[in-house]
Amino acid sequence: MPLRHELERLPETLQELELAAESRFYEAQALLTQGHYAGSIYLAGYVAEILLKCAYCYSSGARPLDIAQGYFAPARRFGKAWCPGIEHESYHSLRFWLSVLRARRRYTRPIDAHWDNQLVRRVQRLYQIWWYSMRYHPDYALLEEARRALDDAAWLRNNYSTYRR
Amino acid sequence: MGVKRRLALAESPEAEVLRKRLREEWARDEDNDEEPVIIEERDRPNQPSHLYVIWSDWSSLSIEERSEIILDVYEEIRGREAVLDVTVALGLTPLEAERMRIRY
Repeated sequence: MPLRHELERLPETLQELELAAESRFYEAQALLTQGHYAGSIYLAGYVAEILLKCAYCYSSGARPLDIAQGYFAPARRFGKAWCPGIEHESYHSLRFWLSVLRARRRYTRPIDAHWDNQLVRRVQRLYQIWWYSMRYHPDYALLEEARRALDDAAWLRNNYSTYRR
Repeated sequence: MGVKRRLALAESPEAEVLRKRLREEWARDEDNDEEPVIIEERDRPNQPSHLYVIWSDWSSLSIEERSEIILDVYEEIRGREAVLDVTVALGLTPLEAERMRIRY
């Protein structure tokens, strides 16, 4: 069976997204070491997007085997009500997922202030470097930008447990 | 200066038909085994709601379109406050539901 058909048969669970984030992180590292800066940023951004998405879903009561897509349209409604003006950019926007995650957590279990500050700073910085349509552009990225993007993705990955609960 | 007016992207005719039919079925609020099977799930009162609609007719629509239709109809029937309590809106065909082990 062709890979696309195989993968499309079942929408992704949160657990699969988390595993994909791990793979993309190591691929981003590999691309950076080979001098492919835009490619590395592209994957680092996806790591951040996936982790923020999953964290939002968990904050909404999700379990690891839940289908991630079922949470997206309700997140858009929630975002429209509580974080108006922030576009979801086809559910890829880091700012969108950060905002709905923080808004949702304010209701349930607020993120510890120290971690919250760091989370906002890291995501805002990555947002200035990465967006999902960058794949259509040639590689103009600098080493410093690629390093920064990977550093932010690494922070989000290493401290996932502080904002995932 | 040029003033441009445009209409928002219209949904597919199929989506319109399904939206109308789902609204009718949901408003009827009958407990039977006929499709669409509508599941409103909530662990406890005042907890977020999970909505699942199992329906063979979804097959031509993307998962995202299905979710939007479910939320629109739910908002019409239960109101804006209620729709903000929804954290999952998933439209599945019976085969997809079976693969995902969603029992109904």
